[in-house]
Amino acid sequence: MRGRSHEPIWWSAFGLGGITAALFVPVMIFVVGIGGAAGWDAVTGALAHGEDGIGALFRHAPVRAVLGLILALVTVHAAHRIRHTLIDLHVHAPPLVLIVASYGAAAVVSALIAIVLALF
Amino acid sequence: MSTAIDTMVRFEVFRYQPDWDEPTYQIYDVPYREDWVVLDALNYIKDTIDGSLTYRWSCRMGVCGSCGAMVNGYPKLTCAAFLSEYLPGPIRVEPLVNFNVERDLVTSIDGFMEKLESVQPWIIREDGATDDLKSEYLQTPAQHSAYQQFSMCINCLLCYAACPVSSHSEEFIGPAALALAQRYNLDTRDEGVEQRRDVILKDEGIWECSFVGECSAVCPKHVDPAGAIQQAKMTGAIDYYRRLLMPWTVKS
Repeated sequence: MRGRSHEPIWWSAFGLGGITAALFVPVMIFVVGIGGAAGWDAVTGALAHGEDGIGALFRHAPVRAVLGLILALVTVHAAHRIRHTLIDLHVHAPPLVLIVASYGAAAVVSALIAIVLALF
Repeated sequence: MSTAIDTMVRFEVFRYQPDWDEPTYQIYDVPYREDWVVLDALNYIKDTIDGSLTYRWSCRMGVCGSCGAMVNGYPKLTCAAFLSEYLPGPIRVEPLVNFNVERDLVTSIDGFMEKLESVQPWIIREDGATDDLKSEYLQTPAQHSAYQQFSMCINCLLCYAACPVSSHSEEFIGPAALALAQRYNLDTRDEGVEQRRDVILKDEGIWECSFVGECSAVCPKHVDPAGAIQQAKMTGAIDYYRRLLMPWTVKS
């Protein structure tokens, strides 16, 4: 097909990130940010077998992997939104430059998140 | 009967003639009436103050879609913009943005007409049966309601004036035309999805839309073009991955 757009790649990643942000981030904040930080037994006890606080939660590799995936998807979602907002605000840059800058930034941030989680 | 109130409302109306170098704003004071809309005030100006003021209008009841203008910076049908909402004034009336001005409040809609035609907003039958109708095409209420909302468009173009993408991309097919494309794509009597595909699925089709949603916010007929474009993006994304991953399942 002539003139077919490759935007569906970015749009579907944006959609996945949006669903993740809407469904999982509030739950994540509630469980990790509130429950974990407050040391609720239901949160820390179940996963950490009685170890202390939020640190115990993050010593589980699957918890860190899921957290990393959620944050990476939300980062891509944000990058897509920022890219289109810049275009709407009449920021004149070649399309490829904006694509590399926005999703590249998302990749760098995601990599940093992965490193932080790996070192935890 | 209209209620006459002993007060005046100031209008600042955009004026431009083709032989002028610069547009200007002209001040008119119009008597306030509770049941008057901006279009009534424009008609008052043209009838009693300045016959040279040029603007489009026809039905004055939100059906024809010809009286759209920027009222205090917001795209409105002037026949639906009551003066009481803008008191004490002044009320600034300008042509719809994102269109070239021909004269005063009259804009050129040639570009839109080309875009509208490009999405083929009519029922297409593979068997060409629309040329020789011999029977009815029955439709259930559910099939009808799938597209009914998108068929309410009156082509007033307020959505193009509200659209940030239309402000920077002249090629963008835009909200109303894409909503009408979706209207026919969703119609069970139609078989033209393939014929509309190339126009809709290019960057200047649905994919330039940044889903700001102002098109739906300003629509006087509650058409929700943003929703139509989102629906089309979902089917467009499925189509894209199908062509990429399972090309043997696609006809062309």
